[in-house]
Amino acid sequence: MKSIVLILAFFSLPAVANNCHTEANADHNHAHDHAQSNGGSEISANIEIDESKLKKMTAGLSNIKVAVVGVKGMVCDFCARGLEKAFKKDKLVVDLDVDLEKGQLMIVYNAEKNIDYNEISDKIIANGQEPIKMEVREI
Amino acid sequence: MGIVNFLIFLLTLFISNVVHARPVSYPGGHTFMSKSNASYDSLYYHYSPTFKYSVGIESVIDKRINKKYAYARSTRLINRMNTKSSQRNFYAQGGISSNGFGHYFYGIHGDWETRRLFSGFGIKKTVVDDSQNDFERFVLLGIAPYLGGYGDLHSWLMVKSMRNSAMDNWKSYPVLRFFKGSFLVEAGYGQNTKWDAHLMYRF
Repeated sequence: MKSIVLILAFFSLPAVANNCHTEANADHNHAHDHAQSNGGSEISANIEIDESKLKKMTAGLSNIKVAVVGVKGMVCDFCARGLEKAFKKDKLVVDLDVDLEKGQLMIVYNAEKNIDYNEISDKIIANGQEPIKMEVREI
Repeated sequence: MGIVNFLIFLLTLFISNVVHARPVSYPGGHTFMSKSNASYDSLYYHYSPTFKYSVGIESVIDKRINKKYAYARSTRLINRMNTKSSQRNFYAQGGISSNGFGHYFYGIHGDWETRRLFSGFGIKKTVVDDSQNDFERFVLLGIAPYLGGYGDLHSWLMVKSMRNSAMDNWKSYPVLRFFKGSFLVEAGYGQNTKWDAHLMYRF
C-alpha cells in the first residue's frame, strides 16, 4: 500500500515543480505549425538568447548559421550528453553549446546547412527530450 | 516460479513501448556500472538501442547466499515527463539469472529531478527458486549545493533510506554523488548498511 502511495506521489511531482508543461507544449505546437507553414525549414519564436555567449561562440567565424533551440527536460549533464553526440554526427555542425540553466542548445552550422526545424526536433525527441522553440541567426 | 510472479515478470520485461519513454542511456549509448554494498558486488554493462530501453548483462557476487551468477537484464522506461525545469522518469526492470528460470528479479524505479533537487525510489523483488525471496525498497533524496554548467563537476548531497528482507526496519544513511562528463561516482555509508558504492561510465 505504501508503495502505491509512493508511486502516485511520484507521478504528481512535475505538477508541483512548475506548470510549464502545458505552456511548453503550446509553444511546441505553435513552433510546429510555423515550421509546416514555412515548408518545414525554420522556426522563429520568442526565445531568450544569451547575446554575449552567442558573440563569444561565433567570434572569428563567418558564413555560419546558428540555431538556438529551447529544450524541455534538459536538466542534467547526462541528459544532454546524447544531444551533443547526436548533433555532432552532422559534419556541418561547427560547434555546439549546452546551456543547462536556460534549457537551450546553441548549434553552430556551416552556412551550407539548410536548417530544418523538423530535423532538429527529431534528434531532440529521439534523445528523450522535447524541443520548445527555435530561432536561427545567420552570421 | 508462481504464475502471478511469472506474469508480473513478463510484464516488466516486455512492457509496451506505447506508454512514453526516456533513455536509460541515450540512443546507441553504452554504460558500465559497478555496485558494491552489504548484499552484493556487481558489474553491469548495458546498451540502449533507443532512449526507451536498455539490455545488458550483470555479473553478481551475492554475499547473502555466497554465490556468483549473472543476470541477463533489461530496463525499460515506461513513462517520462519533461518540463522546462524538471524531468520525471518511471522505469520497469527485470532479469533472469544464469542459475535458471527459477532465479529472477523484477522491479520498478523512478526519479524526478530539477537542477537543484533530486528524488528517486526503487522497489525490487528477487526470487530464488521460490524460497529465498528478497524484497528491496529504497528512497533517495538529494540537493545540489551549487548549480554546475555543462561539463562541470556536479555534486549532490543525498540521503538514502532502504530496507530489504534481511532488515527489521528502514535504514537511512548519507550519500555523496559526483559526476562529470561521462563519469559518475556515488558513495554512501551507514552503520548498519556499511558501504554502498556505485560507479558509472557512459559512452
